[in-house]
Amino acid sequence: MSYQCEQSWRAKAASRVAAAWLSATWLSVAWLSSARLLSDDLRRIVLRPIVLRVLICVLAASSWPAFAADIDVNLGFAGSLVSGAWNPLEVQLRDQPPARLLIEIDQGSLRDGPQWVRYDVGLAGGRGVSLHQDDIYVPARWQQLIWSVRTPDTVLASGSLDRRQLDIRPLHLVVARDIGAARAWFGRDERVVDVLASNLPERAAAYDGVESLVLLEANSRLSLASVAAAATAGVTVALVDPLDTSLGELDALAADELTPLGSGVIVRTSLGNWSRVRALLAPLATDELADALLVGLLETPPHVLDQRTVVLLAIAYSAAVLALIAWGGTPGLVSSVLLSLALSLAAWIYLRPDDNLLIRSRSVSVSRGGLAYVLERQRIVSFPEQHLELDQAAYALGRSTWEVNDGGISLTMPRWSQDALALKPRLEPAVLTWQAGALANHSGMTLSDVFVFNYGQQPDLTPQSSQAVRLEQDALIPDIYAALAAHLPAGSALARRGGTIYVALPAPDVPTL
Amino acid sequence: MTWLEPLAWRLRQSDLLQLLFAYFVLLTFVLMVTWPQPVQPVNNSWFALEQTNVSALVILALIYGSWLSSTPRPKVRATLIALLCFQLLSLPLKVSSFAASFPGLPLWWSLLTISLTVIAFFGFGLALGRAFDVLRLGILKPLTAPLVIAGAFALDIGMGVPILNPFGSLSRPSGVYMVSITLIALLVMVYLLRPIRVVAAGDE
Repeated sequence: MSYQCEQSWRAKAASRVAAAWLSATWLSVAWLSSARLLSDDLRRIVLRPIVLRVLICVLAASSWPAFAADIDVNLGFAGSLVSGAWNPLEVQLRDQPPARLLIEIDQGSLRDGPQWVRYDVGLAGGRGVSLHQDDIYVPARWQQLIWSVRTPDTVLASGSLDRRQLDIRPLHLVVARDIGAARAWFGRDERVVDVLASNLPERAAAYDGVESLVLLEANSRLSLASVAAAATAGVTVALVDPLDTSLGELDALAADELTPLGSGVIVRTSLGNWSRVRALLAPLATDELADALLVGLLETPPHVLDQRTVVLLAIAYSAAVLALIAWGGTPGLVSSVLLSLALSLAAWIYLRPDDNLLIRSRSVSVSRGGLAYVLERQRIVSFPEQHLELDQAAYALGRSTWEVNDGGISLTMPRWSQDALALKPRLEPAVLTWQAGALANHSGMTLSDVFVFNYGQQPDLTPQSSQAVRLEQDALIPDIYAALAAHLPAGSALARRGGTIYVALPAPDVPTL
Repeated sequence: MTWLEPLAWRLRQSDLLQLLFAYFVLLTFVLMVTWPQPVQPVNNSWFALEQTNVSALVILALIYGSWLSSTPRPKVRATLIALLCFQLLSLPLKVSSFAASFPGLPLWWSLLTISLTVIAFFGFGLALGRAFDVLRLGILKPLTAPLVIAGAFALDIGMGVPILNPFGSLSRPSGVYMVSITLIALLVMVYLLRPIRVVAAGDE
């Protein structure tokens, strides 16, 4: 989705034409008046209202342009949106008052009615240019997408997308001066998007819906950070050899034919080899990998007391009270009342948890080297009905309504309900990597439960150390990794510390590029 | 402690003792049926327990109110306090289910409204029982409970707000119900606690 506010140039043009016409009227009338070509009556009847009108119009025209300038809203890459993924969002205001951007996505259906996901953030505005950059998750299924830039008094710009623009296919970005021939490198049903190098975001999450990035020539200023962010997010970045002089600075980032970075790679390939390289570098299924983190994570809300214990305690208490009343007389009655109060207090203390909300997180940090791509999932259990405002960018899995306000997600949770959140992916320095056949721990913490597919369980990795991998027979995969195994390539190494699982992906097996 | 002794004596009498036993059996059974198994994600035990509790206490209050309409007031008072004791003695069961169920209303609201409801419906029972006595229709006293409950439902449905329906305010606090039931309970208390005028034989 890409939008440039059309009202702005129309308003500008209209105001300029009006100002010119009014100025001309003013000058001609002033000249005629000074020349005493008009009679006194004519001056009183005609001239005064005209002068008054001119003054009002000139004042209005001079103040008009202050709030009528550009509003650029860009969601996705060059207007291409990927549903079921995080998409880059950029809003540029030029000479606009402070406003709010409201994006509403209807995830409802004919049966359930509208179910809105709301993204509502403040835009700084003011004199000059103000820029808002973020990433927004667009659900995989939606009916309509509506957006508006508004102040409390008025809507400055608005637009919408309908369901026909829903597309979950990943993007293939091409940076070239002329994309023409590059389209032939991709299949007919693939989404190829021609982008400006300067429009590539430097945030890893923005590349969630991107499968490959092909750099032919820099068509505008290229940031190395954006290429690194794309590669780390799992995008296959291709530099087409011979490298164009405009891309010379990328030599520092990808000197070799194949440079693993984060969960992706940067390859230098010729045009003829591109199809083969793509086939060999299958992207990691990051969403499925992250969703596997939720297996076994607070799947059932905990019950403090089981049914049998509750019933046995109730029977014992009832029998005691009946006995005290039947045979205890007045002291028995007083004792039973005191027993009732004491047990009530004990039951409240024991059965009522200190926290009305349970939040458990697991994250997976995937890396081939250098940087790591971190995916995090959270499970939330709410005991009473409550409205949550969490200070983290995320979307709710398996639910149709939530709100994102100024960087945090808010959602209303019914009584005894549980939800899963997918946090926005992020970058961090790699902790666990392969280095010349050995596993290296780059952090200051000991990593436990080290496991290598096809090799088995390994000893813990001490801080800032590396160790060669040895073959362990009959080693079972730890339970916490079992769900992840299906989504990782053979030769991957796993280790963990607390709720974070570190994955070192093996170097891609690409014999000759 | 003079009021405790008649209360203890009244609770020891076979009718109330048996009813207290039945009341505990009923609540324990409901707790057993509704307390979640480990695989069940939600604890809804409080809602069923509270409905059962209110139903049992309202029916008992109406029955005892109508049958005791012609008996001396001390026994009537002792019986009403005994019924309130049922509520007090079942507190651990209710607190347990409330603590684990997290309903959307405070515990004090539940305890207060049910106590006032018991007093108010006891008063309804007394009034209707007295009316049947005056009309020499004592045979109809067993109909007191269904008549009053049906009347309360009909009134609430007709008015569109919970005024007398004891089940209407269990899941959501209702100010109208609280006001109406408090007023009726106060009237009943005034009636039951007013001094007894002793008329000497020679005065007449």
